[in-house]
Amino acid sequence: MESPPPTPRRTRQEQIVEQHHTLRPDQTAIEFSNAEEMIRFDAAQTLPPPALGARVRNSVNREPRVQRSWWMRLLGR
Amino acid sequence: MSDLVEAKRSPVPAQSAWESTGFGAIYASHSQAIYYLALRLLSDPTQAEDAAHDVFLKAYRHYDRFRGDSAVRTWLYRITINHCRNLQQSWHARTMVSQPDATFWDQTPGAAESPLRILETKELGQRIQTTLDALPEEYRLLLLLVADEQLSYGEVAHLTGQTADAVRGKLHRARKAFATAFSKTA
Repeated sequence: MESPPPTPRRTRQEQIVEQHHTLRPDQTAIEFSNAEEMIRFDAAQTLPPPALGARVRNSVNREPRVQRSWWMRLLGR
Repeated sequence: MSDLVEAKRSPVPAQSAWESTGFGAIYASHSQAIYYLALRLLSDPTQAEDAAHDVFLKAYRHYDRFRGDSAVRTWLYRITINHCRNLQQSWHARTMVSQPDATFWDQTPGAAESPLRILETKELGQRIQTTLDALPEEYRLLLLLVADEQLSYGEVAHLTGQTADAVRGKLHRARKAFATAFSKTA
């Protein structure tokens, strides 16, 4: 006996439950409500290369000292 | 005796510029965000590392000119965007790269409000990169900046040269374009 065709009026919750049943037991799904949320997740997981910090530090230390203008020193900036 | 002579020859080193200027703390606070923006704009980890290095060095050289009108993060983003644009322009001058403009995505059917769902985070970065590469530069930059919760809509507007209302309007279209392009990367 064939199952009845899915009705278009299913709630989103029902659709999500059905989708979860199609996952393997070792799979977990992550859902993002929009692009920024997904990008934010990706950004948090993307670390700069470890060598970058040492590279920037060495370059900065080779530079002549930055002279801060008198008004910046005065304002504590 | 030799130890004493050695000690006199190598006095305690003076505090480096990295520490004395507080620039090390700036790097620690913002390097991840700057590297990520460069990575997603340039689509190349090696180029992004070089770009992030150059951005921080440029920032250090012009640190005395930073007037504090904006947050440090916004200032660094400004340098990163300009630096990456310059790099891309020099690449584009050598190789013609055609991209669909924003109207292409506006006409493409897609569900802006539908959730983006993934099963594996392992290849998420590559899929996001492929998706962003397919978008017009305006949408790509907008999404990357809005994704940073440290930036207000006003700051995003300032960085992208438009009003905050325009940012909100375009964001909806950018989300839709992203969702459509992302679904094609599965």
